[in-house]
Amino acid sequence: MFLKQKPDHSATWGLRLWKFLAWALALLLLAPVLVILLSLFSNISTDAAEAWQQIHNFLLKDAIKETAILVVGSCFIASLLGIPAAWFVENFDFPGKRLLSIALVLPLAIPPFIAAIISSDLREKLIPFLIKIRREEGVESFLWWEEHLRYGCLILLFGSVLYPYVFLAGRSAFAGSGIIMGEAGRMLGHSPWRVFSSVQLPLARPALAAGIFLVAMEVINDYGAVKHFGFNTLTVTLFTTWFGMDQIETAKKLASWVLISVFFLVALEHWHRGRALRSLHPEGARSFGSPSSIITRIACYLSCLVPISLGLILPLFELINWLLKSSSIYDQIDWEEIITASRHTLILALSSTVICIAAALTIIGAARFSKNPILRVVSKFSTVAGYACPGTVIALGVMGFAVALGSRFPPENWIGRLLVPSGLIWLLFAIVTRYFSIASQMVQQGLARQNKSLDQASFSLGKTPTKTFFRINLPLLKASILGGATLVFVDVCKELPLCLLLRPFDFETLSTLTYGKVDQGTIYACAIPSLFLISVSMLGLIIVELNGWRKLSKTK
Amino acid sequence: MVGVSFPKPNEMMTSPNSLTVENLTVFYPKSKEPALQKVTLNVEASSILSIVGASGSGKSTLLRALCGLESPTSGTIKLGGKILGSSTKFVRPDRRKIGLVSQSGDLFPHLNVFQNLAYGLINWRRADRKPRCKELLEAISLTGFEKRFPHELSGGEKQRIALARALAPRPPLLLLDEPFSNLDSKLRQSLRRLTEEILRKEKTTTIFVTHHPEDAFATGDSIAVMDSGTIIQCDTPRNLWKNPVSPVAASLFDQVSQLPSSNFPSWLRANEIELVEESHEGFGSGIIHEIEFLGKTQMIYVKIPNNLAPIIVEVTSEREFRIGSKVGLKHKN
Repeated sequence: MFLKQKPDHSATWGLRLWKFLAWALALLLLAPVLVILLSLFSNISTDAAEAWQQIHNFLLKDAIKETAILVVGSCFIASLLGIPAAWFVENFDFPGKRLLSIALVLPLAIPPFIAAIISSDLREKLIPFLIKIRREEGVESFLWWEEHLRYGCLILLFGSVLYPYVFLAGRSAFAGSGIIMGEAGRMLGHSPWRVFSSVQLPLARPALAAGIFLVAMEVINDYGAVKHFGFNTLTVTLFTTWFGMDQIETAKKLASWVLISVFFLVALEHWHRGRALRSLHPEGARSFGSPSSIITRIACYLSCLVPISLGLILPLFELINWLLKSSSIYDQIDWEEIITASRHTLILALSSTVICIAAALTIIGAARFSKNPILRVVSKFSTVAGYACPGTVIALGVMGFAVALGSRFPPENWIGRLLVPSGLIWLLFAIVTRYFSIASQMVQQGLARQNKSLDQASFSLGKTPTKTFFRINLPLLKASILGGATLVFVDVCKELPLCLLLRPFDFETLSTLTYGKVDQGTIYACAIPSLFLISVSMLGLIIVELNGWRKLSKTK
Repeated sequence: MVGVSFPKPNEMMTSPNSLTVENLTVFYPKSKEPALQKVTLNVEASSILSIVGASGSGKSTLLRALCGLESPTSGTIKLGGKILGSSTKFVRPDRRKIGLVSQSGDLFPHLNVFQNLAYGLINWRRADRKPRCKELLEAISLTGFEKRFPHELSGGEKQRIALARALAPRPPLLLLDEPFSNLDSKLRQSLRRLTEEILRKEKTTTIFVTHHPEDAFATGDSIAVMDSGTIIQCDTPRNLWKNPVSPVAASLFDQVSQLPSSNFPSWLRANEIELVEESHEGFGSGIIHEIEFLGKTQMIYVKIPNNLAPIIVEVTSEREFRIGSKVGLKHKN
């Protein structure tokens, strides 16, 4: 607004109102992040300063180390599982490929904390080995092994349920131009392996980096799985500082440093992605056909079945096992609380999905028709802020924003009552802030596929930008909206940290109920709510995948 | 001179379909050089002006400024005497009633052919929309295509529908931005003839931007040549062909060679030079370094001393030459 630029003579009143709404929404979504960043410069009380000193001296180093090890390890395992699967699925045709392709995405339906809980029985099988080590090699050796096995199990767990992010990124990267470049490489005498390593993988690197980055963000954000395994990552330290030490100011200060580190990673990822050539996505991209040798055929199936086994079949098998074990206490299960939790989850997921999609259409749509580059930048920031920020950081920012806003309205006033910091509205706000990026990226990708000359054709036929958006752009966004809505819905159903931190009193969701069961020690009783949760998530993912396959078969 | 006068700044054009552009200048944001510089032209009602120019000459910017997708920095655009754009007034693109057909046609993929045609008829009575769409489908020989979707049409069919859609609301001015560029030459030719036929029948004032000289010559009542954001010549096709004002103008339609500076004229068309014996009196001699066979004719590239670029000579393909031979060059006139 302050840059010297040509006045936007073409703005209609409808467009002006739309842009105003977009600005308001974008700034609202940025508010929690800004609150956290501002705490970098604000003075804190003596108590908070002491607490910060404690954390800085005794906890921070280990928290950073544990977070870093888990992130690096999980990204490595996720890449190991996701990249070969993506390459084989995109480059070859083999029986069952479609079903396997859908199954490869389904581990996303299993929240890491549920996978951690249900892996308890499997981990118990390592106890005899540890006892043997303790007996034969002493305490130090036992501690070394115990710590490394704990890291190993959690890293494998994260990698197994989060690899679909890398798989999906790899799938879109290896499709289209990846195959065409691969064919060019083969024509020049290179073997498939050499073509993969020297042509297709470098081309796919920016997209794969984006997928790996998402894995990293999920690991940083995780609370339930990490806590269950006894680690004190940055997120757990934030939780402890906020709830354990009751030091919200110190927690905000810590959160601001976490935010800066994460933004640095985001900038690095964007810079890396920006330097790469855009992929071509030509129409009618085809695969290499059936695998020519038996080894390739075996590799196709192995690359799919190993991740599916680790990320889907094993957890589901364990869960069903637990369901059977919990059958003896079925009469003690409080079905009403499960139904209530399901209802709460559904309300939260549906309302946040609708708000996320509406906000995405408003902001991204306005940026498309606006000549103001700042709106585009602000909309990009509000997208990035959500997916880059760990949930605990957003929760802290929302709390700070809620307190600041609530202090302006007396509690007797209806606005004051609505804005009570412990209200459901703030949980909803935090969830929308966190997951807005998914909706906005889907809408953005959908709009980017629509050439701006379509808009210009509509203008030349007498339609205003607003009418053009509703008559032309929006109908063509149906698939993107469905995809975005489904992904937001699934992720909100699985959300744990935000629900734990910001839920009103006595407001349980399926995630918090499941986590609560573990805390209470009735570990097998969490099988039923877990299954509910996973079933809903899987259904959503299957819908999205089938929609994608339908579009693909239409273009072939 | 038919159709276009350049320049006639004082003559009042009051016909509702006549276009007047006076000293139009457009700067893109953060750019020091203007994309359009003092462009002036008048297009009479119902005439067709072809605009040609190299890439980056400002053709698309001119069309975008006429549509309202770019704001003028200075100068005016008037349609039928009404100001559409100036440094102080700006009429929105959706209110200008200027039709636009782009290179890709831009049919709306989720609407069928009938819905695409009727899209711009929102202010028409319902009873009048169907006959108008039917009339246009007949004119473009696509009757029966009403329910088809864009992905079910060929390239030529898409461009015909795009033209019909732009013409449907009877715009006072139609802009064609290289509408046939994506088509093969035979299809381009047939579509060009069909387009001209429809435009004459509809009596629509048209500006037709093209890269292809034969399209410009065959379709336009007049041709404007653009270079570096200005119009360097505007004339009837025959006059432009006979008397291009500069090698830039001539090179858009023909191969042109710059001659060594001591020669007059300083440039010649490929078909204005003949190859003679080296000893013959001409304006120079050199060595053949490339031969480009084009079917009916061939282009002979002759390198002469003191000239950076080779001289290009067009000869019939019956004659045979060898690379490396020494030849003389003579002006045919």
